[in-house]
Amino acid sequence: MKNKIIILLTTILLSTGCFNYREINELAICSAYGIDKKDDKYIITTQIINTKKNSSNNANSSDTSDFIIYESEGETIQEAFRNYLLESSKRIYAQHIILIVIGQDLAKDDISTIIDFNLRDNEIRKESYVLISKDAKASEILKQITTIETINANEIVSTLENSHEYLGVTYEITFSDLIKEHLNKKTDLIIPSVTLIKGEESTNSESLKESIPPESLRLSGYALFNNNKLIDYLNIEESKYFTILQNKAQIVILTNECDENNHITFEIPKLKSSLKINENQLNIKVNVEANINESTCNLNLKKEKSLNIVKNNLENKMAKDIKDLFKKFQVLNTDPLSIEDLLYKTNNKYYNEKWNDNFYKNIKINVSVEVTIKEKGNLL
Amino acid sequence: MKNKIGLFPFCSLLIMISLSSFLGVGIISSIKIAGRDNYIVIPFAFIFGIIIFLVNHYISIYEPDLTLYEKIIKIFGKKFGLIINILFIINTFLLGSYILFDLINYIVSQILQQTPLLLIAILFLGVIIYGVKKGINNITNISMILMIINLTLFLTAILNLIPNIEYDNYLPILEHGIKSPIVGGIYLALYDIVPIYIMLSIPHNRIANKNKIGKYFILSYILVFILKFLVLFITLGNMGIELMKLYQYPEYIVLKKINFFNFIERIENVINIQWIFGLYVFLTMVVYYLSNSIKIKKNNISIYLIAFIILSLTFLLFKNTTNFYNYIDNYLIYINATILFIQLILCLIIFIKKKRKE
Repeated sequence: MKNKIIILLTTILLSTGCFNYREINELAICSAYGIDKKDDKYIITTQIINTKKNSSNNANSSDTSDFIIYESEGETIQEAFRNYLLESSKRIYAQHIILIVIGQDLAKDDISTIIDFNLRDNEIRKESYVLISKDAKASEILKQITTIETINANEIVSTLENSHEYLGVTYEITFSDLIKEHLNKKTDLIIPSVTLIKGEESTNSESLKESIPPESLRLSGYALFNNNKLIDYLNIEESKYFTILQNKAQIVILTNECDENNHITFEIPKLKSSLKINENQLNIKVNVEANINESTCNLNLKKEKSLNIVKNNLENKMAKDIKDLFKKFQVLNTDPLSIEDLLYKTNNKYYNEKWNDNFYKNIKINVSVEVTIKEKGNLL
Repeated sequence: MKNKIGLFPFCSLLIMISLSSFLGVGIISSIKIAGRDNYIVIPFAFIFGIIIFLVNHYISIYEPDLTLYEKIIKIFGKKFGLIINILFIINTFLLGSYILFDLINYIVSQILQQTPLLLIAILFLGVIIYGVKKGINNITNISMILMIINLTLFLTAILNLIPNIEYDNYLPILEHGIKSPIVGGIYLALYDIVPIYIMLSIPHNRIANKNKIGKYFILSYILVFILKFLVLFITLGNMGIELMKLYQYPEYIVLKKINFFNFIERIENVINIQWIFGLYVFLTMVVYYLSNSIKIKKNNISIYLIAFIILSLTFLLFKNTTNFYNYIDNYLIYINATILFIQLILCLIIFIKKKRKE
């Protein structure tokens, strides 16, 4: 009996869950953070959700923003994060971070420096999306007040997801994906980017009162890396093809010129691509089911012959664009399609014998695109 | 007449001990040795493990009324037997301390980051002491109940993770040839199967329906290896070798991907409680083995003493995880190989004795 009481008391005392507890009102819930580098110091921009905004005690809640931005700097990311406490009374709670924005300057320097901290910290979830701030600082992106969603990070994440789902420009890359690509020495990183469209004479909160905000965020194409360093960007059209080649596209919108100044727009709801490498010959096969959504061409689309012309034109355009994209990768000496990894995995013996620094640049490409036109909308 | 132990509860000990040992140390060793081919290690470990398994079974059926401690005394005589027993006891203390460190390190590194290690260790040892004092029947019954919970959690995780498998994570197969999976298999068998000698602290005659034990034990052994294979295969398919090599507990990190119908997420801690259950049973058996071997007049005192020694050893031997993995990489394999070697000698002597009798 005595032992039972001792064990019971020990258990009660030790398992109360009160050790180092953190009450919710003591937490600064972070929705996103950005990393910039200036003069060898990291500048961390944290976006904290303003929990006071909607509280009943706060009479002037409409005058305040839904999020608060803090900027802190340090020699390392961890130090910069903690220096935030010099300004705020609440410690950051990182479990709800949904977005990480990496400044362009830091990305050009070396992106791998940010990975170690994020990996070691067990509070930061590895499923947050990662973006590069194109032609802007990460802090500028996170400071921007958004029009539809009140929290900036939510708006960026929704835009990213919707543009993937309905436009096929970029797909979401999580921090976990980034680590995996970073650790694989036989591939190069690729990360979607976001940019700031600057207007004239805009002041953040005032801009929201107009229906056309003079300053806004816009998703851009992928940022390309070589050896963990940002080297270039893909434009929107190239990004679509990259998403197609990665088999990540859900719906893609492609426009093709059919005759002078006339265009035909396709919605592609179903596509499948496969990449195979046979020694130094890369074979890309893309199967596409397309719907015609809009046409201003002087073609009678009721006729089989006209449809075949449209189909062949799309096939040729896609094949050419894919070839151009791959050539761009070869010129920039970046391998975001993981061709080296593909050869290593599928023809290990050949890879070990033949792969060298110039091999990638000399790979020949053969693209075959097969388009099936399914729907033409309400028209005959 | 003491109560007999059911076959199913007894076999659940094998599953819990072998599996929890694998989840902590076995996975890391397989990844380190075989890299991308870590799941191919399992069939080889299965084959090598059978030898260890049969050795233990052979010792178990000799003098079925005696515990391992008593059998050693009977075979080697009092003086030499005592030395052999001391070797087994020291090894079991080391076994207990590294399991305890693995358990508390997992909890502190992944769940309760700011809680002192000592606090968690004391809490667990308290429950373990209570379990051991309740006797072997209770331990085996607890093990059986926890095993059923574990298998359910396992199944839940597996079903959810299988669709996320990316098959190119397995390529190229046999990246560095067949040698590394074979070596990995030997290591894994030594890490995971050798510790089942602690089950020999239960005399063979205490088990009900002992005629069927061989069949049940083999089925449990096969089940354990299927589970081990699934753990490695699914983790590799989901994470890829790069991430697997990176993390301290890849089998836990992969559970973060579990998502039921887009609204049940972040349940990795619930699913991975099965490992804590496994380690609890393992550690309870370690303390039970030691309490059977170190008998002070008042038996209860010896249990407290054993728990205290394990606790002290844990904090003396393992200052941090680097220390811990250094021990696993450089010493544990040789210690387990020595134990296996002694067991083989035991078998040989038993065999000669039996032949002489005939």
